[in-house]
Amino acid sequence: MNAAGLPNITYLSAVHQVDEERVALPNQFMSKTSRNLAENPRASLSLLDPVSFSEYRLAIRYERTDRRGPVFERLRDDVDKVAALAGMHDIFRLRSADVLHVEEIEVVYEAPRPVDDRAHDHSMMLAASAELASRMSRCADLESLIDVALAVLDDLLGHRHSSVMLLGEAGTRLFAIASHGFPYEGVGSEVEVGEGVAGAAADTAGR
Amino acid sequence: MFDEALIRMLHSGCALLVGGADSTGRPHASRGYGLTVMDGEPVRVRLLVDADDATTLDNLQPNAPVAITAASVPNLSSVQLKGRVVQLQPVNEVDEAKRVQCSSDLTNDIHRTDGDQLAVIRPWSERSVVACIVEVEATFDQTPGPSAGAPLSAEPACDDRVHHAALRRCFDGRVPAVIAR
Repeated sequence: MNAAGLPNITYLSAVHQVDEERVALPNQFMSKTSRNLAENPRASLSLLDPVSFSEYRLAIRYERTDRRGPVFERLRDDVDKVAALAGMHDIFRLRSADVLHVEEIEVVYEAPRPVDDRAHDHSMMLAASAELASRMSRCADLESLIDVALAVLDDLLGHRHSSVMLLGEAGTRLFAIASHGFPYEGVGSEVEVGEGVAGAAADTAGR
Repeated sequence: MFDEALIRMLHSGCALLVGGADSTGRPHASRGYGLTVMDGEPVRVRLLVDADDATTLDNLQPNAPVAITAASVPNLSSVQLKGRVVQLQPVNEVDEAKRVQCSSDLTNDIHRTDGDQLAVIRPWSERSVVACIVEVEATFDQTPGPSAGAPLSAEPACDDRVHHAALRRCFDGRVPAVIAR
């Protein structure tokens, strides 16, 4: 809302939980949103769980803008991942992180708990992780270790598609040494650090 | 203000967000469940909103300002409409058909684009709705990128304060008058 009472509404690429009472919103192109928050610190945030599709509405109040520091860095990581998934790495550039205090949370839609979604059940995930470690410990060489690991990720944790990529000597490119679940053999494929999902993950890990 | 491509996008299963506020300026975000561009000038749209969202219904009183953002799930192209509420109306058979079509198009787009299961998405998109007629005063590009927020219409909405200030400067002789369209 601006000072004249005119609302502005837009989609966000990511929302980061700062602590128990605050969230950080990315400022990429939202000059209008920033201007409005300066004039009227109150905002309404609609949040959608991307897995269950549960939906929440948060009443929030602007507190500050971070252009560096841990909140900014973590939000930048989130935005970079979303950008990699959307193929918009060159467009999504975080300029600042707006930190807002959460004053109220409303459940708009609560999805029924999935009966057969093991990824949502922490105890099942722990058991699957233990089984993964057990099977990997029985492998005698690197090739079988990787084959077993990718197969177990599929069988027990539901990750149908996976690959293992290593950083080249120059530290600028990743090379696939194994893949699972793809219709083509991905071994030997390359990706620049910072490009795509794998490249963005490697870039984040290297910071 | 609305060309054929924009109308086609708005009539598709785009994801709709609705922003309003109460009389104290407290904003409230909600979703839309279908939108139809009505014939005639000025441009009006028939927006379907959640019938169970009491705050949204309270906010959407005649003449209240409202913002609507429509986004295409497959390519993220987005547009924001700003205007004022004309009135709320109960839904008719055409509205209900529109809601079903938009819900189906949206959930299918999400399923194709992100791979989520339809059985998970569909219950989220099913709502009872009320129709809200909105008179559109301005449209903005909201697609991610440097042009996000730029006016879409060839003739941007006129801010009266700016308009009057410009006229005063002309009358004062400080700015030579030009022919305005």
